[in-house]
Amino acid sequence: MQNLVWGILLLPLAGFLINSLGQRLRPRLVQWIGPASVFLAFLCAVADFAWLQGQTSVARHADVIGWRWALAGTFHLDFGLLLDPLSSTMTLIITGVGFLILVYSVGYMHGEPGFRRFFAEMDLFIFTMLLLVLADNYLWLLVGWAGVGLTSYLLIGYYFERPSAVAAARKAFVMNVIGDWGIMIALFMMFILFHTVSYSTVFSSVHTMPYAGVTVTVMALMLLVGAVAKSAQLPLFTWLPDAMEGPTPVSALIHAATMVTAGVYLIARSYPIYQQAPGALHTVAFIGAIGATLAATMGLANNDIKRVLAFSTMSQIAYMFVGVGVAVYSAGMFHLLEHAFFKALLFMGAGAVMHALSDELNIQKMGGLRRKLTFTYWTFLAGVLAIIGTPGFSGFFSKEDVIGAAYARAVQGDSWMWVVWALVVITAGLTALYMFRLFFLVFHGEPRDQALYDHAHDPGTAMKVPMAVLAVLSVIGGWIAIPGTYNLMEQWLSPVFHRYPVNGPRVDAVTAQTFSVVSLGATLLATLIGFLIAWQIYYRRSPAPERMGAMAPALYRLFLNRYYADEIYDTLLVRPIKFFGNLVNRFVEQDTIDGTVDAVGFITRWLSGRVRGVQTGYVRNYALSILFGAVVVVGFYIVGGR
Amino acid sequence: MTVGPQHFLIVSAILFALGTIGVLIRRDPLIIFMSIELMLNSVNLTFVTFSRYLGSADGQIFVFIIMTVAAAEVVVGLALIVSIFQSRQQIDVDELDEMRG
Repeated sequence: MQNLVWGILLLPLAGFLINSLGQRLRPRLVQWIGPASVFLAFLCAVADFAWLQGQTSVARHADVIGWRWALAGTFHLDFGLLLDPLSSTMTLIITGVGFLILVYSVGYMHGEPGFRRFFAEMDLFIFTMLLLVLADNYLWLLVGWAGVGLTSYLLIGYYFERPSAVAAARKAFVMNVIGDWGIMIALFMMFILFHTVSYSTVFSSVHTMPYAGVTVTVMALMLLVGAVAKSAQLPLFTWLPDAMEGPTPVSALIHAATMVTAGVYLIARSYPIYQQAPGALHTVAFIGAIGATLAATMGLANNDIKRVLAFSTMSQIAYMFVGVGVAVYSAGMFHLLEHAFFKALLFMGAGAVMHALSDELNIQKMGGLRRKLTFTYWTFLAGVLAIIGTPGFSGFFSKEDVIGAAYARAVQGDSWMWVVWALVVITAGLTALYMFRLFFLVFHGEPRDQALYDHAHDPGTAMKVPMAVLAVLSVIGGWIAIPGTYNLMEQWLSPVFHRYPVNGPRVDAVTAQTFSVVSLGATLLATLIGFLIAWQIYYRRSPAPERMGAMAPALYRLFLNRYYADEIYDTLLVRPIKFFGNLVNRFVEQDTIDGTVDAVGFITRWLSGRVRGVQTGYVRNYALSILFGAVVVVGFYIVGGR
Repeated sequence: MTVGPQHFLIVSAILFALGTIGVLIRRDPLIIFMSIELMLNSVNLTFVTFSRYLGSADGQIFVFIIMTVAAAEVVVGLALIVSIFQSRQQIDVDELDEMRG
């Protein structure tokens, strides 16, 4: 039964191969193969989930080895898949939400050029993402990691005739490679220290290293570099808003529900390493807390519907980082699950709005769509209520899990966590503010562009059904855990996080049972305030952004320009690197290397020119040289040589 | 003085040298061929001398072979010359320099 895990992995690969190699396939076939392969993978994921449920709690760990992949002296590495609650959860999300998004894409991408390429690349993405989460060692995780980076590049640059899309794809890929570097360094360290990179050995051995020592902290921080790059956290976040150049289903799947959550998965999976390096854990929590707040402020000033959602993604993933950063890994994963539901839904809603308004992105040109796009309105509302943490909706439970965890750690004595807690509470308020700003500007008020408004209509069935499913999940998906009573998510994941002996903050010292009225109250209060501010400003009227910005011009500019991060990177990094590259190009590449190669050619030609002079073409010269040769040979024998 | 083998060998060497110089210096292909024949015949003389001197018939047999080869070579060579220089009035071997590098 656990061998079905191969089915999970390989079915999307089959879908990719069929779609990419089948040049003559008609769109109607393509649009079946793509989603179908993922749906079958989803069925396998469900079957494996059920199988895991059938095992006893501690036995929920199946390392399915494929074959011995590398053998070098004492080092060996297998290609194997690990089936445990953590990877099972991820596979369910990837294949389930992936399937829904693919169905949505059938409607959204209808008639687009490169239809087949889209589905092929999406299948490839799902395959590499599954490889990432199912691998049982860091090397194959890295392979999947790089693979999702590649498909992200391909899909962001899907509209490759648009220079902005190409630039965005390149930017995403370059920043991703920085993350790859971090993971590789960590891998090298593991290899040197443990002579292996497979999870079981590394995790069993890491607790013997010096606690909070430099080595283990560096290892954890290097993994963090990878996680930060992939999950678009501080400071490597600038690629995510630009990545919205890709088609909306791509934004929904890759840059909301799955790929960007890979960083969270990595940290959760590597928890023994992080447990051994509390400094790194604190770094994770702070990157999360600060990033959440910064991202929320950036979303507040932006006028592009997809980019606001992109900043919201960055902010919510920062919440997940906080969750794992306070060593309550199940909280981070819980939010990952819920976020996948409502974020995919929100992006689908944005796509529906865009489709209705001929791909218009500027929310300042929208308004009043409530009357025209009723279905989209209600599903989008469900997503918004979920993301801000309205009590009863899915986001509420998972956010409370994270915020409550930070609070509990702070109360337990880790004073730094007060800062973290304060920031996430403030962010909750900001989230309500910018999400409802978005919602009101798009759906309420008066239409600000009549021509666009007149043509608006609700999307077709292919798009509606997944949105409906996700809307339902966004509402009820959180009831698997209620703060203060039970937490099924934590129970489900606990065998994973208790498998290896660890030091550091006790993983189960903070459970869902630790419930704080103070924290809950503070969060709800912040959320309410955010909502009321948005209501007051944006519900009826739609003030011009300039007027809003004039209230705090410096802040507004800061938010709108994303804290000038792009400009800073450009000056600090991009330009020096380009300058250095040009230098190397001129002196090393052109002068030295090309010079050497050219010189070889030049010398050869010169030499041959000289030698050519021997061939005069005169018969008599040749006769003379024959004579000389004969004289030499005869003389040799006369003189007495043998 | 008695004429011994050394005299014949000296004559043969002189003839060979004259033939070589003729090949190198003359520009008329027919003269060059004549010089080549001269070289071959000087070698014939050497062979016969040694044959008489050593009392063995081997040298004389080899002379036959050389003569045969010389005859065949002349046939081929003259045919070549005729075809190369068919259209010219004055024939000069220095004019064939198209194969220069």
